[in-house]
Amino acid sequence: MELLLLASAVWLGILTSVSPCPLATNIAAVSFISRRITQRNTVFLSGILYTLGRSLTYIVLGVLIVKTLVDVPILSDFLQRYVNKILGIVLILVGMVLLDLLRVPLSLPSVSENVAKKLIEKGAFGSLLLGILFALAFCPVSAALFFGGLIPLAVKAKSGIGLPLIYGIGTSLPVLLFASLVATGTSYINNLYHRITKVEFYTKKATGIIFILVGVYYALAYIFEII
Amino acid sequence: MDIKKLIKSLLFIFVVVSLAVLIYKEFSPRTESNAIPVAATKVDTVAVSGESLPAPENQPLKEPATATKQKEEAPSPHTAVKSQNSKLIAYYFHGTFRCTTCRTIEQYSHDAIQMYFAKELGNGRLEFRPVNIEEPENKHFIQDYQLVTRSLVLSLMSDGKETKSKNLADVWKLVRDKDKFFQYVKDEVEKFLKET
Repeated sequence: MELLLLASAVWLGILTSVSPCPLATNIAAVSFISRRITQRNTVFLSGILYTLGRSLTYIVLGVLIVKTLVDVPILSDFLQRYVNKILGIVLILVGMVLLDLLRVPLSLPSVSENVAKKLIEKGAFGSLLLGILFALAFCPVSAALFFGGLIPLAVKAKSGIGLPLIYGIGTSLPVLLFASLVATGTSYINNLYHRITKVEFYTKKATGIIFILVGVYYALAYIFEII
Repeated sequence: MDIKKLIKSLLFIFVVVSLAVLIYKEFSPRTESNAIPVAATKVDTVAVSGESLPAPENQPLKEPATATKQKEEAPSPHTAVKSQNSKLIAYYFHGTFRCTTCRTIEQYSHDAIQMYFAKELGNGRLEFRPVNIEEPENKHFIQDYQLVTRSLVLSLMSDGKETKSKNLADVWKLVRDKDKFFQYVKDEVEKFLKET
């Protein structure tokens, strides 16, 4: 019984990530995670943090719903309505930072610009945030699977943490798999040509461009509502 | 270097315009909904979801009270005596942003109903009605039917009042299997039609 619940949670997660609707964010996630393409460990760490970020969002939502009986339709409507709108703008700005078109403005005196930039470039911290944000960006398919599929299971099993955690891992699995394939493949080619720094220069630019394109797509679809 | 600056400025302009549109749309929902007459909205939803929709156009999307009135305004030659007081409405609830899977679900629902229930559609016992829940006047549906996403809901109306409703949540599970999807919609609608 327990096993069946866990299996359904993973399966719902995988279904969520392979549906065409979050495709744009998945592309952005894959490119972000595999950005430090020559350092397989960093890619791996990024992937784990991205997964953690996603699970964290689902756990918070799960606990909110299971423990406090937050009104699910209102929550679902709110997230689908607003997060996607803000997401476009955020992605464009992050893409601009990655392309060095924009410097990270920081008012905190103790954290210098370099530290912040390093954190973003390292991808570690950034991947966690990205996971949290992308998980919040519900679209119709993921809302159906999470609010309509997983949450009823979680409520029945009184599991506000366990099932959402497993679901979160499920939603990241295909992204993780793809990112590691990209990293393995490219670092192999990379070793052949001994052009390590060059490759990283391009992957970072490519990630920036992908972020901007995905951001523009989201803005056109959700803010201007013309796609 | 110049190209870089140009791209930077263009992106900034895009971000600022997006923000402005976002804020404008958010804080002037009243003026927006007043500016667009309900009739126009309705025509729009009909246009998006296929021309062959039986739903009468140019009618306000209001719930129970208008349901009986609509039948009188759009009479069909076969209007049966029975359908004067009870009627089944198949709502398809969607948002402004239409995703691929959602379009498929709407298309399948529409086609299944059209295919199996042409007679009921013709005599007004059944109606397929796509509704955008992001329009302010339709927001109450979210609470009424506890909607978490795009949904197909059957609503049985009797004397202008809803007596029974069901959210066909399995449409999301069956969307990859057209035959099962059609069968599911057919079975559920039949169950409801028995009670009209």
